[in-house]
Amino acid sequence: MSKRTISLVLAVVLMLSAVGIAAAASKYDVTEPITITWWHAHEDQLTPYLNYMIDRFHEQQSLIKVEPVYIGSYTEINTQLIAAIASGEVPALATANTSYPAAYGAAGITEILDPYIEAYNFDIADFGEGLIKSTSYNGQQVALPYLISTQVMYFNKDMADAEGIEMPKTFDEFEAFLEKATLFNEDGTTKRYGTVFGGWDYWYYETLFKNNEVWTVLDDETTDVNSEMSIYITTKMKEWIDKGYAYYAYGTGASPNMRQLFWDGGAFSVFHTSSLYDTYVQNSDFEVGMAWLPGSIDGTRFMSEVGGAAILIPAAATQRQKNAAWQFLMFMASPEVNLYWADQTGYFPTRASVMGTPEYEEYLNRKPAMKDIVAMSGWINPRNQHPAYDTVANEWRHALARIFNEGAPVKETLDKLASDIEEILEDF
Amino acid sequence: MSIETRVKRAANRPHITKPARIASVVLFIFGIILFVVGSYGYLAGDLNLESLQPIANEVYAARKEARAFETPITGTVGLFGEGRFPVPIALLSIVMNNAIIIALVGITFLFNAVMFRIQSWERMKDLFCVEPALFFFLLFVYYPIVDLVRISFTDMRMLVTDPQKFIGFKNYEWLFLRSGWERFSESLMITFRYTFWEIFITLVGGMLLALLFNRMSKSFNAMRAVVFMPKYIAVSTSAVVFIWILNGNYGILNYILSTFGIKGPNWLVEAKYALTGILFLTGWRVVGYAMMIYLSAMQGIPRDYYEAAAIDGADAVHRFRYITIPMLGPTTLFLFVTTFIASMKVFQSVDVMTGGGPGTATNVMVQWIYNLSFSDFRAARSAAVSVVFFFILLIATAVTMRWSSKSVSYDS
Repeated sequence: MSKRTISLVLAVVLMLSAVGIAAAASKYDVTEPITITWWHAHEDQLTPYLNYMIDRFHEQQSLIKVEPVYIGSYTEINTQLIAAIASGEVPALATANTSYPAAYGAAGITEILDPYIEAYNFDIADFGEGLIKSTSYNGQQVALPYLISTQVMYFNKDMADAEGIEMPKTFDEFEAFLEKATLFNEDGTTKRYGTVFGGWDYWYYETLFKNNEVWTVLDDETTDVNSEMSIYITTKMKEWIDKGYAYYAYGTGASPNMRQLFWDGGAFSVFHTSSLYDTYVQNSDFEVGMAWLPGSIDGTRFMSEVGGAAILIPAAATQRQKNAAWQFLMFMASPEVNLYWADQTGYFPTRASVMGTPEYEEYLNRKPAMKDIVAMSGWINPRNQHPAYDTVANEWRHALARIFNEGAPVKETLDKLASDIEEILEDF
Repeated sequence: MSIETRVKRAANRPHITKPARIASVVLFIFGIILFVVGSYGYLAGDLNLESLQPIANEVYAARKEARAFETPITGTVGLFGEGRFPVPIALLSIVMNNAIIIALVGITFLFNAVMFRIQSWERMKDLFCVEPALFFFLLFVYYPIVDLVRISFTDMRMLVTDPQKFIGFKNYEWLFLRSGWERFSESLMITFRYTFWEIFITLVGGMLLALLFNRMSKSFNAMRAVVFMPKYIAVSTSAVVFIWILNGNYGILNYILSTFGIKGPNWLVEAKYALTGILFLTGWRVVGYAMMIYLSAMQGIPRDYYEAAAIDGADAVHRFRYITIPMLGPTTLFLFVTTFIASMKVFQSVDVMTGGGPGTATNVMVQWIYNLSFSDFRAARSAAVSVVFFFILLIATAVTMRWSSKSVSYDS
C-alpha cells in the first residue's frame, strides 16, 4: 500500500473522526493546544513507521502534539511507569505488553476507557472478543489492542519442501516431526535441531501445556503444573532435548542465539512470535514458513495467546492529557492505521472490518505465510489475567530450565513447583 | 566539686548576649511549631495513622481532583475531626508532602535554640557553616534508611496507589519463617560466593600485577595505564561486550578455547558457569585498580629493608614473604574492606548479563531486592530484605575491621 493511499485513507478516517468528535461534544473533547508524551517500546527499525503515523496525526489536527519517547523493553516501560505513578508525573500514553493490562487494571492505575468509548461511539466490538478480553479487567476496558501477535513456529520452507517434512498439527505428531527434521553429525552430536523452544519467556511454549488442559493457575487459586499430563508433556520435551532433537533457548542472549541458529541452518524450526515475521524473512536466504503451534494430543484444541502490545492511558494523568491521549489512541487503533502497522511490521491486523478489504488482500499476497496464521486467529485467546500470573509462570519457567538444562528430576521438581506456586497464590 | 574547678568552669563558660537569648527563644518557639506541624503531616501521610485517616483521605481526594483538572486544591478540613480547627486542604496537602522536611527544619531550629544558650557567637558561626550539609545529610542519607524500615512494616506494593497499611512483622515472618527464607539463604550464599571470588581476584591479581609492573620506566607506565583502563569504562557497557565474548555459540572466548580443542560451556546460560561468567567481567574491571593501589604502597616500602635482608641472605621469595606482604597489610586491609562492601552490593553487571538467572544461579542479594520490587511488585518485602541485608553488611564490616585491626601492622 503506497504512502499516498495511506494518507488519503487516513485523511478520510480523521475527517470522519472529526465529525464524530464534533457530534460528541463531550467533556472528553480537546479544546486547546496540548502536547502529550507517549512512552513506547518500539526499537529503531520501527521508528520510521512510528514517525510517519505521528506526522499524519499532526497533519490532520492542530491541537494535539504527540511526543514519542522510547523507554526500552516492555519490562523497562513497566518499571518506569511504576516509578512515574509513584511520583505523580506520568506520560499521557504508554505502551504495555499484553501481559500487563490485567495487573494494571487490578491496581486501578489505568484509565477506564468505557466512558470515552461510549462518548465517541468507538467501535470496540470490531476488535473481536479475544482481544477485547485481553485488554480489559473485570469487564472494563483498561487499554486498547494495538500491535497484536501470537505464538508461531517459523520453519525453513525450502528444507521442508526438499525433504518432505510437514509441520506437526498436534502434540502427538511432534515426535515424528522432530525425528524427521533433526540431523545428526557422524559423532552423534546434533547438526540441525528439529526445533528450538523459546525458553526465555514462558509465553512461547505454554500453549503446548494449555491445549492439553494443564493450567498454571486454576480458578480456585491452585495449580496443576504437577498433574499427570503436565509431567507427561515435560518428560516428552526433556526426552527430545536429551536426544538432541530440540534445544531449549534460555538465559542471556537466548533469543538472538536462537534466531542466528535458524538463519545458519542449525535449526529447522523455532518457537517465536508472529511479530518478528519480517525480521525472519529479511535475514533468511531461504523461504520462511509459519505454522500454528501444535494443538492438543486429541487434536481438538488449538488455542494460542495474544501477544504484542496494548496502549493505555495512566489514571494519574490530567483530564486534558487523557482527552488528548484518547484522540491519539483512537487514531492509532483505527482500522487503516492497524493495517498499515501490520503491513510494515509483522504484527496482526486486529480489526474485523479490515478483513475482506482489497488492501487486506494485497497485504496477504505480500505476506503469504500470514494466511495460515490469520486463518487460525479465531483461536487466539487473552492471557491469564491473574495478577500473580507473571510471577507464577516465571517460577515455572525456571523449574523447566532446571529440568531441561540441569537434569533435575521431572516429578520432584514439578511437585516442589506446585507447592511454591500455591504459596505465591495464597500470598496474593 | 572543688572551688578551683568551679572557677575554671565559670571562666570557660561562654558569655551569652541578650540578642542570643532572644534568638534562642524565637527559634525554640518556631522549632516547636514546625516540629509539631511536620510530625502531624508525617503521622497523617507517611504513617497513615488510623485516627487521622479520614482527614488524609479528604486531602488525597482533593489532590486527585485538582491534578485531574489542573485546578488549585480548594476547601477546608477540620484538623481535629469534623469542623474542629478548619485549615485549608491545600495547606495540609503541602504539609503532608513535605512533612519530613518541615519536621527536620523544626529539629534544626530547636537544636540551634539550645546551642545559642550554651555556645559563644563565634562557635555558632562555625555551626551555621556545617548545618546545611548536616541537614541535607540527614534528609537524603538517614531519612531514606528510616523510611525503608517503615516501609518494611507495611503492605506496600509497587502497583497499588492506595495508602499503605501497617502489618507488623509479617514481612519479616515471610522472610525468616516462610518461603522467603529459602530464597534469602540461597541469595546470600550466592552473594558471599561472588564476594569471595571478587576479593580473591582483587587481592591476588592486583598484587601479582603490581609486582610485575613495579618498575618506573615509560613502557611500564603505558602498560599500567592499559591495565587500569577498564575501571574507566561503564559497567553496563562492558557487560554488554562481555555478553558477546561469553556467548556459548558465537562468543570469542569459546572460539579461542575451540582452537585448543576445548569445548567451552554456554557461560551465561548454564547455571554452574553463570557466576564464573560474571566474574570474568569483574576480574577484568578490578585488577587494574587493585594493581595501582598496591603499586603506590610498594613504592612507599623503604629500599633499606630489602637491602638489609639481601645482605642477610634472604632470597626474593623470602623478601616478598617477610617484607612486602606485611608492609602491604594496611593496603590489603583497605582493598579487602572496600571490595567486600562493593561486591556484596553487586548489581549492575549481574542485571545486564543475567538478570539473576539462569533460574536463580546469579540471583545476588541486590538483584533479588530489585526483582522483588520491580518484577513481583512487593516493595514492602523488598524493604524488609534490604533492612536485614543492611544489618548483615554492618555486622560483617564491623567484624572485619575489628579482626583486621589486631592483625595488620601499620609500621610503614
